[in-house]
Amino acid sequence: MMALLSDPAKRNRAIVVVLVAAAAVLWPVFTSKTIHFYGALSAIYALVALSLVILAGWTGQVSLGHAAFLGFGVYIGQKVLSAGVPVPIAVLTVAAFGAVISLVLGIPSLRLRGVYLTIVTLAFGAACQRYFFQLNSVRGFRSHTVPRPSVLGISTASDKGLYYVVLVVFAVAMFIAWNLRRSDTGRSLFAIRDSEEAAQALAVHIAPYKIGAFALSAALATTAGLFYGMLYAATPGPDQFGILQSFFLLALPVVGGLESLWGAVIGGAFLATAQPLVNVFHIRLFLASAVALILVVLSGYDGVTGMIAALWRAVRTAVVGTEHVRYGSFVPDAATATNGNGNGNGKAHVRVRVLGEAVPGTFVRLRVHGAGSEDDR
Amino acid sequence: MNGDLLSVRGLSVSYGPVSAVRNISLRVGDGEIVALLGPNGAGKTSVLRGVTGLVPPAAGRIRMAGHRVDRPSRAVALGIAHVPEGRRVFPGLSVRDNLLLGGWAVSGHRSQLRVRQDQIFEMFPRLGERQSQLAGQLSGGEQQMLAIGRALMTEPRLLLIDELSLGLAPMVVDTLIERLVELNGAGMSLLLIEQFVHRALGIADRVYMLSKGRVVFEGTPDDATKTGAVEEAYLLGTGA
Amino acid sequence: MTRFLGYVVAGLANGTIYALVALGVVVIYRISRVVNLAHGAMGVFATYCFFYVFIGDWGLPVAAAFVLTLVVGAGLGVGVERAFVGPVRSRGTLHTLVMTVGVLLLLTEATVQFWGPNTPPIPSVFPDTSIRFGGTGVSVHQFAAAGFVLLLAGGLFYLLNRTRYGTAVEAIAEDPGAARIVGLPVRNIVTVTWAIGGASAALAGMLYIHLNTLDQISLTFVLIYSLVAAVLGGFNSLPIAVLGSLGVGVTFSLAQGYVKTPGFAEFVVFLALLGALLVQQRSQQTSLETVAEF
Ligand SMILES: Nc1ncnc2c1ncn2[C@@H]1O[C@H](COP(=O)(O)OP(=O)(O)OP(=O)(O)O)[C@@H](O)[C@H]1O
Ligand SMILES: [Mg+2]
Repeated sequence: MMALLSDPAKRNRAIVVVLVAAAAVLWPVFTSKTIHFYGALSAIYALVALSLVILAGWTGQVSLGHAAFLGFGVYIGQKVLSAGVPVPIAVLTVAAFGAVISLVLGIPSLRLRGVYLTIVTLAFGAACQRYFFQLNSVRGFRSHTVPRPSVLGISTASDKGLYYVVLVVFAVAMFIAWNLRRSDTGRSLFAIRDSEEAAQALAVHIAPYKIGAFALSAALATTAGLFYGMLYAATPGPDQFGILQSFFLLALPVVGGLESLWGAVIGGAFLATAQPLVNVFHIRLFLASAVALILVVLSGYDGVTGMIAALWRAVRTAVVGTEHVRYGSFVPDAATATNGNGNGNGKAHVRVRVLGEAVPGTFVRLRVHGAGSEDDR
Repeated sequence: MNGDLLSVRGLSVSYGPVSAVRNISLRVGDGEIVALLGPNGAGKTSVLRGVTGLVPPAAGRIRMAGHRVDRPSRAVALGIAHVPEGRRVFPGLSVRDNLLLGGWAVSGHRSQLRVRQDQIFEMFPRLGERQSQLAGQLSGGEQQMLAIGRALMTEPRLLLIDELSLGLAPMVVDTLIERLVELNGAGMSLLLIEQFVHRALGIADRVYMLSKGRVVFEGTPDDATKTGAVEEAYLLGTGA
Repeated sequence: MTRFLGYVVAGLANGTIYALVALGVVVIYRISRVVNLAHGAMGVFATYCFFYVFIGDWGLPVAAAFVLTLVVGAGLGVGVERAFVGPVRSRGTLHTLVMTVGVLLLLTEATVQFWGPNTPPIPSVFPDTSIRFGGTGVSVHQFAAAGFVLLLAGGLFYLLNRTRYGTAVEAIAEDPGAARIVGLPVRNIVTVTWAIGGASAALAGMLYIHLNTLDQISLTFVLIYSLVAAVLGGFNSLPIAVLGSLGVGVTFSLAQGYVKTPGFAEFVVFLALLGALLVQQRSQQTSLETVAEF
């Protein structure tokens, strides 16, 4: 704790975490029931967004089948809950179910170089929408009611209660993801993801980790589905978990930010605000999401998280006057040390001032801003 | 010398907020070999990018034989060919296809290109032996030959070469330099960036020393060595 | 037996549409190295223009509307490249792919926004007369579709694999910067190639409507079937894309014909994709081994 407070960057982050957590816990106290519904829905979507952030972060790929995982969570969850299984066990059951399916998709595709996971998840989503979910053993033609048992003493009969349950699950998932990211494996994967060559050379060796990340991602998405079913107290039809929904779900973390766990929080919050707004102005939610997604990707920032970070840096520079760069800074004027007849293989010459937590042996990620190498057409 | 082939006035090149080349002027006369020297990061590569318009210059006027150069395809059409830093051959294409694309800008007939290609194979027999091999499977030296050959396909009047010797064995560099001197003998002008300073000084007619994006010396190779301009520029650049 | 033949013919007819989509996807992949997931949505959008705007609002004759729609498709292709995909390409596969998903969602939703959720009862572009052929009838429309596919596939194969234009496409995909250095007209070549891709999407849309009702998402489902074939050919081979699509079409039709469970064919296609991935795994392994030799 003392260590936490001594490093200003870490301290700031801790403050933000505490503030956001407090806001997430307190807001339902001051608001009405209808809003609680959207809050719970947003928490569920934040869980899905988190699952996609984990996937993108670890594998550099995106899934277009997450609506199907959500759907499986709803349908399987309904059966498990109806059988009187307590919610914690039900969570484990659907999560395991999602993880197992993910292996079928992940093992053939994640050992390949290329975007095959995206393609196979898309085909999976289509097969679920039109086949699996139509089976009577999964959902069939009739909606079933989903019970809302209380969880460890918290009643989920109200949307507020359900919201708190999902919030706890989300917090736990965030904590797990955060720790995995800080582990050595997590850091290496993150670094390798960005280097096409390293990824190619190591594709085979890192496949198990990618498959594992996808399994975790799928497990979180099916878990989200369980709560989705509880929130609606029903099993919506297969078209509610079709490929269009998967495209929409992808928009959440992209708008939030794919590279940071905060992206999941903001993605969920995006929905919380977008849904009511969209209802008021009679815009199609998916249309609005598509526009938001496109604008964010075009902006070049890593989602709203990236924009906030950039804004924060700008404000800081304006106020404090010094540029605080977390990973290092770009000093274009100073040539790097050259040993005699230089090597100069044409890469940018950067001197990196490493601040903060870089220890020898860790990866330093460099992002070079600036337009106009000849690669720009 | 009147009748400059290439004349560059007040060229500035920047990458977003980073300014790499500031208000420099240089010229290459017809039949001249000009060396552009300087430490890493001095902006040599950026000068070439600005000259051909790969990176649209922030300021400056570039003329080739009296005509304005504003984009790479125009540069090629005007007789400028560029051997880029790091060779940049197309690794997935065969040697022959790489050469074929080099000749895209000359609206010649296929048979004309064939003739040109055979001349290049004559100059670099190693390429001829490997003509159906993928460029990515060539050795570094062979790739540099291919990059030069690709540039020569348009029968340029001016050849820009960025770091000829990059990662090559001295023997190979010698051969390449020999070829370049022959080409110069046949009337082609050269603007040469080279890290082996003394090699470059050995063949150049004139030298520009660049440091931190500015020209700090201009003159003959002899003057450059005598006045100590070389050492100075390199020391300045490294900040020592 | 007649029943079987009937399914095969119907499968081939559908397969030609899948082949059209697969061809477009491969062409765009070859120039930009991106799997254009918006391809189906582009086709749908163009086809809705065909019916609601060109025929409906403007009252153009079918032939004129047909040609105009191809132009719209080409324009869509160019526009998507210029405005959306091109600007993010240098940022890597992930962003480019996500961008195509954004465009897919945008075009699909725009189609609903402009023309509502109803599906157009579009007249056949070609006469519907049936020609008896063995035990089953094959319509003129189906022949025309097959003709288009053969023409397009042949033309593209010639263009991309036998001309220096094709060599330039490969070069631009590998290293756009070097292509500019050499003096290739990179912009023009990218534009033309995306225009071809976009026009083929529009063509697929217009031919599809006769076989099936076209709703906003149906060509995106077709895209999935086409991807099986594209994956088989490593997104590179035009012949495999065409033959694979026909194969998928026939498989799909047989599965749908003999197993009455709804959506069973979709399931079979999914399995086929898993199979195609295993084939890809083989070929990537061998290509890695060849690299290792050097
Ligand atoms: N694409 C780019 N984006 C941003 N900055 C760049 C880019 N390319 C070069 N720079 C910067 O411009 C300056 C000049 O670089 P340039 O490559 O022209 O130097 P150089 O003299 O060719 O060096 P070397 O001898 O190492 O090849 C450097 O500070 C470099 O960091
Ligand atoms: Mg350089």
